[in-house]
Amino acid sequence: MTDARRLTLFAAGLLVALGLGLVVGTAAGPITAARPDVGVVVQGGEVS
Amino acid sequence: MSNIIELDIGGMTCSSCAARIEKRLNRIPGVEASVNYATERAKVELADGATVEEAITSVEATGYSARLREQASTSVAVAGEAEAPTDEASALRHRLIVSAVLTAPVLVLSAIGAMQFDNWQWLALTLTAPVVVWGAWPFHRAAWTNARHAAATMDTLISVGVLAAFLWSLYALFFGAAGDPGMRMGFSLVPERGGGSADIYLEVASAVTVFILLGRWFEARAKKSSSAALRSLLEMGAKDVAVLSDGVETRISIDALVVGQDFVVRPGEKIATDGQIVEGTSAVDASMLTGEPVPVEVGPGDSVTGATVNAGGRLVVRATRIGADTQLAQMARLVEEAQTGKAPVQRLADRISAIFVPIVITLSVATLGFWLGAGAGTELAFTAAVAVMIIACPCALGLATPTALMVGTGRGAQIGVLIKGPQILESTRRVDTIVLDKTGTVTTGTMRLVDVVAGPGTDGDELLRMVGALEDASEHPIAAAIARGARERLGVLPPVAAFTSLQGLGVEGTVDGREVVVGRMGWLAERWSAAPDPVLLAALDGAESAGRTVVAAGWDGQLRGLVVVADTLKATSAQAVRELVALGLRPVLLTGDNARAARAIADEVGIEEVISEVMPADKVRVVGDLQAAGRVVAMVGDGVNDAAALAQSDLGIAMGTGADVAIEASDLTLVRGDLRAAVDAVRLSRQTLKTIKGNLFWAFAYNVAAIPLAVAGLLNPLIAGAAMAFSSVFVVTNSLRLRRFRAVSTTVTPEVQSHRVQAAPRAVTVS
Repeated sequence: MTDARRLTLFAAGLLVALGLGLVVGTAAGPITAARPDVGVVVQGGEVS
Repeated sequence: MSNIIELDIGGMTCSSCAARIEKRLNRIPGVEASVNYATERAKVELADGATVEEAITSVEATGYSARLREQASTSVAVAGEAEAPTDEASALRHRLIVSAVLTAPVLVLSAIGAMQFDNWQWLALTLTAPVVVWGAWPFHRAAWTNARHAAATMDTLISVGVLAAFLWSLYALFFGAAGDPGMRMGFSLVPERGGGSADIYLEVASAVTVFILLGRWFEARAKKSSSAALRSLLEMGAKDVAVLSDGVETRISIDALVVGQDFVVRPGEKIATDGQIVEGTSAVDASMLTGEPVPVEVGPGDSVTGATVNAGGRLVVRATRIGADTQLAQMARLVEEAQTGKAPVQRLADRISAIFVPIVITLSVATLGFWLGAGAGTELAFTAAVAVMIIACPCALGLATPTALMVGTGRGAQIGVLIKGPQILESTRRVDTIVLDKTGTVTTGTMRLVDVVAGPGTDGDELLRMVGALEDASEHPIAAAIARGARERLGVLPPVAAFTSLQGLGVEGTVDGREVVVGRMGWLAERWSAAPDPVLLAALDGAESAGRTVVAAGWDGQLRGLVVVADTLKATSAQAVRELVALGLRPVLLTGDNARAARAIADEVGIEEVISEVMPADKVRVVGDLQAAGRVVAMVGDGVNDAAALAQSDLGIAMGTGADVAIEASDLTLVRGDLRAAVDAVRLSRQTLKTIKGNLFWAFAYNVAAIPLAVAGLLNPLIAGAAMAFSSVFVVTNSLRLRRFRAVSTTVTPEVQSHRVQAAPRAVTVS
């Protein structure tokens, strides 16, 4: 297989992956960054 | 008509580069090329009008540098070239030290919250930037070259990981919350989704670079030592020569010697070049070249080889071949050719990366698509996608091979096995045949007294006493073996008077008032005009056909008996052969002896397959034939004549008691001359390879386990740091287990003990 052919195949693979991701993501429904239900413990290590 | 040239190739980072250049060169019509990654050279056969420029342009178009290598005309020129320092290791060392010094504070600042002061992140960025750009430059360059050919190696993984971590940190610092003066690295116990632009991964970018550079430096050091093979071979030759002209001796440099000139070789001196003896008789010790312990008797008209040692009298030799035409130079070429033609072994980490990198990039793009599709916003989508690439680059990847190799080679050194580099470990797993050179490997390689056959009416001890006393006055290696054997058995030997040595025939002298003569049977029989006793003749026949050396002795005008010396079997050889078979290897005995003598030795140690009557120069062909038959061959040898065969074999094992060049041309060196160490060498190498594979698995495992978190947008620096620390600790601990490797060669079995007792010479009286 030539280099160009391999690169083309890889690029096509990436496009397919992106498309699949989009499809699955859309199907999974809206997910936002904010997660008020998750508790966060922050350990501050500041030196004053 | 074809023309063979050699090109020095630059910029290769792994064996797949070599394969790529080779493929490209072979595409040119009329070109047949083979590229060796280890020697960084390409051997190119040009035909049908193909030019050197065409070949060089083709290599350069592939992304590498090429330069025509000058063919050395003299041995000195080759030696000079071999001495040219390989600066790859020192350049890497420089890069490593600078990067490590810059990385240490970044690690401390990032890992210890108490150390973080206002704007600490900007100091970390200042320190990390040169490490990522300059320190990791070799990886970026190699990754780019590979990318142009749609290939991915370990370099690609490192480059992508390091750049992803660094560029993301840059984004977070300049456009996210991470650049705030009071920023502290948060140690969230539960990962927080969407906190990406507040997180920086500078310590990941710099630490990965340093670890990988460390691994590369170890590898470069190992590669550097392999080029010393040629140098040590050429250093064996004489540096100057005493030329004889009109009866006057003049000492000149070896380069000034011309064909046809006569030169003098004194006892103990090396013969300067290949030639023909004009005057004088002597014994020439060619053991350095041939590995055979018996010196060859030479006289006028006989040919001699350069670099062999004149063990006896003064010789006048006429030079017949000089410089690149000598046998020594030809041997050097053979070693070089065998090294160049050797199939490259691809780094394990590269093979894994070739599959791993495309998967990670695809996964990263899929993650981007998922979060975009899920409507989480562009920032979170990119955070998650970049996080996948950051976490996929395992820091311990650079440690997996070198740490196991360091511990493995360290343990090897303790048990007398020196492993040259990681590239040979793969071979130890695949080898199925082990070729054992007889002399010096299976046998001791030094002459020992093995038998005393006394004629009718003569006492065996008396015969040995007389012969031992007379031979004690001679410097000939066979005489020394007899004298040593006699002294071991009988104690103090009587003094000798009127000692005379007759070159090539024997010695005579007076012992206890008797005129004793020791030498060739024919000479003694002729001297006394008496037919030898038939029993002695039969003993002579039997011993000689078994490959042993026999000297006859007599006094008072009568032949009294025979003394037999031979190269003896090593006490541990039989056990070693059994152990090799148990490892799944098929032992083959290789020797220049006649078939009967070879069979006798093979039977004694339990080897079924014997290749006998092999001329020293043909050993490389024998190994090649076995390889052509589909076998993966390991070769154990010790002589200079074994060097090419050792280089040709898939796994070359040299006896440390042998010639330097054999050691240099090999992959494994056994410090002691014990064949059982070869068993340990194979076992230890296999164990080390197994550890490397385990290390690579675990190096990837911790990071791979964190990939789902990255995909889910839950990765933070704490997890990246933990994956880095855990995998590194695991890899180092796993490697340290090699210290417990148990060697078979350091134990004395009852069999070895009894062999040592039996090895004492015995006296037989024929009545």
